Amino acid sequence: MTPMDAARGAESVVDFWVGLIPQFFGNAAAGAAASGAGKTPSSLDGLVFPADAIAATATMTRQYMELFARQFGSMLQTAGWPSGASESISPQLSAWEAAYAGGDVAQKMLAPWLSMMQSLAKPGRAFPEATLAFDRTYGALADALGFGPLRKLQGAWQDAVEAGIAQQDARARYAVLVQRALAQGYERTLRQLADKASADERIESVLALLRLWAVATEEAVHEVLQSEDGLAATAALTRAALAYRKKMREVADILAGMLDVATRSDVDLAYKEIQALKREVRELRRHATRRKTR
Amino acid sequence: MKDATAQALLAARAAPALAITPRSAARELEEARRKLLRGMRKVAEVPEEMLAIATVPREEVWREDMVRLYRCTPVAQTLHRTPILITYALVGRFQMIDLEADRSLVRKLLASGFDVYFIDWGLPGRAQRWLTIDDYVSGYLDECIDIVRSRAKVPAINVLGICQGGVFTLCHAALFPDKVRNLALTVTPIDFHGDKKEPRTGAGYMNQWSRALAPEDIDDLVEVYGTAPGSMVGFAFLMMNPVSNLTKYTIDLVDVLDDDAKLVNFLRMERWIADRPDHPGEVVRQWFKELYQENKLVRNELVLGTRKVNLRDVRMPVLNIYATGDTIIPVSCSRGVGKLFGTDDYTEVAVPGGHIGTFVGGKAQKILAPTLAEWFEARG
Repeated sequence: MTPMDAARGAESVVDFWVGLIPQFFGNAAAGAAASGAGKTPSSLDGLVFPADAIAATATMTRQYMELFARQFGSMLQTAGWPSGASESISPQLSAWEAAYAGGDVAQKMLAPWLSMMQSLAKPGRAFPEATLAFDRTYGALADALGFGPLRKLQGAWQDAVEAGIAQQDARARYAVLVQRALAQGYERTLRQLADKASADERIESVLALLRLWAVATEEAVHEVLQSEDGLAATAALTRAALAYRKKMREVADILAGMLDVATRSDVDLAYKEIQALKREVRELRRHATRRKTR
Repeated sequence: MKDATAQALLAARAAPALAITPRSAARELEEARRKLLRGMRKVAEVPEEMLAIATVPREEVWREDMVRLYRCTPVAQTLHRTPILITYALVGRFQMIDLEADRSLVRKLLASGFDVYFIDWGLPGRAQRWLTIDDYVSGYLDECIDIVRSRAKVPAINVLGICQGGVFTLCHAALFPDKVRNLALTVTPIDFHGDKKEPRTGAGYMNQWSRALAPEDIDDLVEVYGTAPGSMVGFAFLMMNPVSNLTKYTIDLVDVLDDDAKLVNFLRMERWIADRPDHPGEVVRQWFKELYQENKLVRNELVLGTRKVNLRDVRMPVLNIYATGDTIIPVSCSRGVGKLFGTDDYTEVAVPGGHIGTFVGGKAQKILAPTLAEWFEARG
């Protein structure tokens, strides 16, 4: 199947489902009105679950897919995927993008959702709140319509962004310590030079001066990084880097799952079984050798 | 403000020591530039065969997965009856034991009349993510020892472990004492908390870093990477001495590039450094959690497979060689551990230099191989 075929195939499936949504809710509302004879008939206008917002999920999805398509390559590299993996997946991603590219109707339907996001927008809190609202309102339905992985992806991506910010913060704290060590190294160099001056000694070479600085600074770096603060900052940086990478792997795993590509976790599990079998084979071989020797 | 004033006063006191003029600095830097240019041209011209490392003639006698067992071609007419099996660490390649022909531990042992085997742990990949220390010790290492025993037709052989390979051989000797006639350990961490007793600035950073992490952090590390990339291991080593590693590739290079012998040594060492293998995840987990964090080896609490490693079961003669300037494995992690073993024949020897210098340093070379040869020879 060519990427173009994949694009058309996925497009037709999504078109089908998105096209069914208004019909589905129309029928449901009509059914509810019919069964509620004798009561005040509910109006289609008053539907709790507006079809336009559901269709807007497709557009939201497209936006996410576009975002991921742009960032996929570097993201997979960061998450430890082999180089070249992104190239082999990108045609499929393009297919998804194409499939989720809604038409005019979807564009119009996007408006309420966007306005909700805008109304929720507050500095630093907009995205989580908007996604929470979306999830609470449309989550179950989105799952039923096959958007479950995308919801997961959205959550995982958000977590990854937060982990990335935490990592930057840990890096900044670590950098402050290193800066402190460098400042101490400079001061030590000056002290050593002052001592030399007192002893009437001279440094006549730039390289010798640099070496003096390097030795003094290395000492300071060791002292700072081996101090309680230094070890705590290094551990925090390690932890933050691992947390970020872990989150990126979750994103990559979800994407890979959506695209039917084996994840590293899948491969690891397979290797785990192979390793267990190898151990058994080794034991059996030993038993056989021992019996032969007897 | 007060600090700034103090700094200015200090600078004023330091200034008279600097006899560097703009003209002398320009001249010196121009000379350094010329040396670097000449040197870089030389680097490109060095023939590939001159940079080859671990060239000792050998034959492969066994292989499984990525692991290979080699037998070095003997050079002596009469060989000592008991062969020596050398076991290097997983964090670097075995080539360190034969980096250069004139600074080769292997060649010196061969010249002393020994039949020498060594294990190449190979390059573990994703498939080796689940290998445990037990897979190495009771699996590959034990298999290699059996093969050497069988080829030499002896019940037990001499085993020489280096660094992490020393820990593996020590565990093996405790689990299979009848297969090891004599055990020699070099720059081997045994008491992983030894650095606490004798804290030294610039040494034992790995010990401290490991303890600053929680056990769950190590789990995360393994979960995230699966197999720890060799580049990450290399970075960890670089960060132990970040400034001197910076000068090594800059200002120190000026002199190295200007000296043919130093240049070739430098390039061979870089070739070895660049070949840093990935590290199986489960070994990383056990290494850091159970050894660096919990120090289980000296407590006789380390469990490999289903068996506990009890150092009292190490009943054969033990030679323990450590490097006085080792910052990677602090002396206090290797020294003074004889009382832990179940042998009366325990010897400790200090060699000058650092962790790797033990094998390639001029002074250490004069002590290491002769000490090992003499010790093994005396014990058959």
